[in-house]
Amino acid sequence: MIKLDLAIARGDFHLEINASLESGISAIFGPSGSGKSTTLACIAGLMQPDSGSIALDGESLFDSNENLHVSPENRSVGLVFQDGALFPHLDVQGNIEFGAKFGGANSRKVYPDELMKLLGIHDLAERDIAGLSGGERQRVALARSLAAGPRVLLLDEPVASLDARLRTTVLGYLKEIHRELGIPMIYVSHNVSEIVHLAEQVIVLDHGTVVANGPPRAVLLGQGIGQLANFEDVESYLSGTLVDRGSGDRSARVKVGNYEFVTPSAEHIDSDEVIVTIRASDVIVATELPRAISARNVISAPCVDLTQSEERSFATFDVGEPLVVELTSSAIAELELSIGVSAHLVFKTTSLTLTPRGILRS
Amino acid sequence: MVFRIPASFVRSRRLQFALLFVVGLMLISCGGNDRLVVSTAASIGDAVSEIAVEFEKSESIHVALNLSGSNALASQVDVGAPVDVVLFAGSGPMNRLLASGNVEPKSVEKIVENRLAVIGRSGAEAGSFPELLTSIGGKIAIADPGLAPAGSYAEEAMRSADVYEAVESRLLPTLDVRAAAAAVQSGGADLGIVYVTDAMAVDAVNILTMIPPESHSPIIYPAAVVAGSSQQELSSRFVAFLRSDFAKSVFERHGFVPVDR
Amino acid sequence: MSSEGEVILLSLRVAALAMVGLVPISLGIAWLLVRRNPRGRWLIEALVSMPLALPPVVIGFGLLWLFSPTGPLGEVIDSLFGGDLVFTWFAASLASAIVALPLVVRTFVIALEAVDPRLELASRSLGAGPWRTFAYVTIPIAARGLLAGVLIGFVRALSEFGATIVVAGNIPGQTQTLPLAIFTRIQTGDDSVAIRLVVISVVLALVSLLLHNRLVSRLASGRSR
Repeated sequence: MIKLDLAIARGDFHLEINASLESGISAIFGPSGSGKSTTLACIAGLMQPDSGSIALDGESLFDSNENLHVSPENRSVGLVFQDGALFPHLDVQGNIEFGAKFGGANSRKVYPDELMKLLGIHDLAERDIAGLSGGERQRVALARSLAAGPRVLLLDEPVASLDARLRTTVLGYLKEIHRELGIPMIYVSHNVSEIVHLAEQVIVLDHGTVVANGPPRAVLLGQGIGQLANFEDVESYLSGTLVDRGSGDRSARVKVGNYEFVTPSAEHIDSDEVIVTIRASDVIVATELPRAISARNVISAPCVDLTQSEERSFATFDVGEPLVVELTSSAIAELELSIGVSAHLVFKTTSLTLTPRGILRS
Repeated sequence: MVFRIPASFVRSRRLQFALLFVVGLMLISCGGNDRLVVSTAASIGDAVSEIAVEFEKSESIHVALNLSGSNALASQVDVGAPVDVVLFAGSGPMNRLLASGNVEPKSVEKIVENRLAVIGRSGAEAGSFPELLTSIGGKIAIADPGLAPAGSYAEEAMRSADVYEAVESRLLPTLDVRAAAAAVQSGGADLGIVYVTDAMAVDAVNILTMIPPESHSPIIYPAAVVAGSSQQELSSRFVAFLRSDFAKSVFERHGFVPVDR
Repeated sequence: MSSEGEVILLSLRVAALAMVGLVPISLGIAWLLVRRNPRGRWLIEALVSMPLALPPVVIGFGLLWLFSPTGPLGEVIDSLFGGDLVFTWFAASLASAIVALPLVVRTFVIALEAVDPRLELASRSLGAGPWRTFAYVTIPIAARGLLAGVLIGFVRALSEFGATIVVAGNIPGQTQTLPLAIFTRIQTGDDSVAIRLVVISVVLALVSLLLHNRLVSRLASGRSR
């Protein structure tokens, strides 16, 4: 749990934060230049605020009143950079072991070997980092930071430079890591879908000030953040298991929760565990069961959340995991949708994308 | 070729020890006062070196020769360099040190003289001075009188033989007297006026005739004890040794003319 | 007079020791300029570049004045080490180091600039303090460029003449380095020996420069990121 109460100014840029980040996965959301990376840098100790205090689990890391600034190497705070910042003079194994070598001695430490297996990069051990793909780099960077046994992991837009498919994969890894190792994370991004999927709490920054703080769906999909919420589509990432791979023209079938989704064929996917990505605007809600329609997916699920603002409105349904659907407020009113009510969700096979969810366990 | 410097080398214990050893070595062998520093004109260096070796045997002290141009050597002394004895090619530098008080006047001794000679490439015909200069055409190499004493002595000799104006246009002034000898050797000049010692040291040039010493001021090589020397006794003995019979024979062998008192 | 072998060994030793002392100092200055960008940066750069602008003989006389027994630092040296600094091979190394300083610092600056500062930040966040980061991340990544700097400094040190002959003297067997030996042999008419020494000088310089170019081209192919 991190308590932030700091102010920092660099040139024209001013940042002031007074907020607490709970354990679990928290996020910082905002457009570029809003101060997200600066906040992370302050927590990690790589930048020193002009005034204020930072405390982690009760321990003071920075306090301007006491002239205290714990140096970064003594904070046990891990930081994953956007492009990985991997050491070019070491191979993959060398990079990860660097983390293990200098990390503080504490119980959260995970051995490099296990980390590599967990992240599916064990066979990359001797590889030069120059030849790694974007997704591989991120996983190595993750493994390296985790090998140092940090008390909290800071991630600075870790998937921003990856393509959609890779992004989904790495997001999957992050969630697994959090589940497996129980390590708190602070996730910085300007992408709503990622935060909605991963985080339990989000702080919204705009031009260096906190404008919102709360659960992601309410904060990001709901009212109050104006142009900040003029984002692209919201996506949901659902964990599923392949039941039928399909082939060529024939669709595949994926079990998500208690439902079976009809998806495009998955012959190119070698793992049975997959992530199903679906855009909020691709889902149609019906309160009557439709007949004779082309969409292959018609499932019935309860509505668990409803956020409405002047600009956009979203309803979240529980299909074993949250599925976000975008509607107009008039539709919500007409269908008399509310929390607890079940409805039929209709979407086409082609609206779904599959990505492997490959965590290899030892 | 893959050229990787492993990080392990940089931090290896061996490298660290090697560095420590080297630094220790540096500190240990710094300084040391058990030697006699003799600043000598480089042109007479070989001869002095032989004499110094002999001196070392009887006095059991190491003689460190410091070889350079006489003017530079004098400047070093003026700036306070720890020199014990000086031996210059010419009186000019010695006068400088006398004027600045860095040399004991009483200790100044004339050690040897040098002679001038006319040289030509091997196979050239011998002759007499100054006829040689006018009978053979082509360039005449001398050290630039403004830069080296050898040049002014050569000019002096030509003037006193009344031949300077006649040959002035054929003169080839060089950086120093060694360069004049080299000019003749390489064919840049047909004749040259240099010290006898240079003529003897350089291959493929022959002395065509000696220049009578009366036609120029004496070319004196003086030695003296430096006033600031911490070894006055020993330095005086060295200067005296430069006038010993042994030293005289060495100098003669190299083409210098020992001066009698 | 000393043999050619003695002269070569002496020269190598003098140049090597000059580099041993020069490398840590140059590294410190370069790091300061690249990572700290201090206020008085222009002054540091000017001082470091001075040996390039001054004739080596002037540097030599400056050092001689400073360190001779009657000079301002001469007594300090005497009380610390019990002897003179001038007219020793140590003075020769000092002269070589000073003339090589600008070259080495410049090359080190380029080498350090090629190290992404974020890699150092990453190292700190992984638990390595500033010195460890320097040793395990900065230096290995900059290693090729640093080595190139050492080589070019070494070549410059080997060829040093003007300052050496003034502050270290031309003492055969003690301070007569390769360039000084060549000068002396020419002065005494020992042409054949002089030519041999010149050839050796050229070979030594060529080998070092070849190595240097090899390293620089590998650095330029962008292996640091």
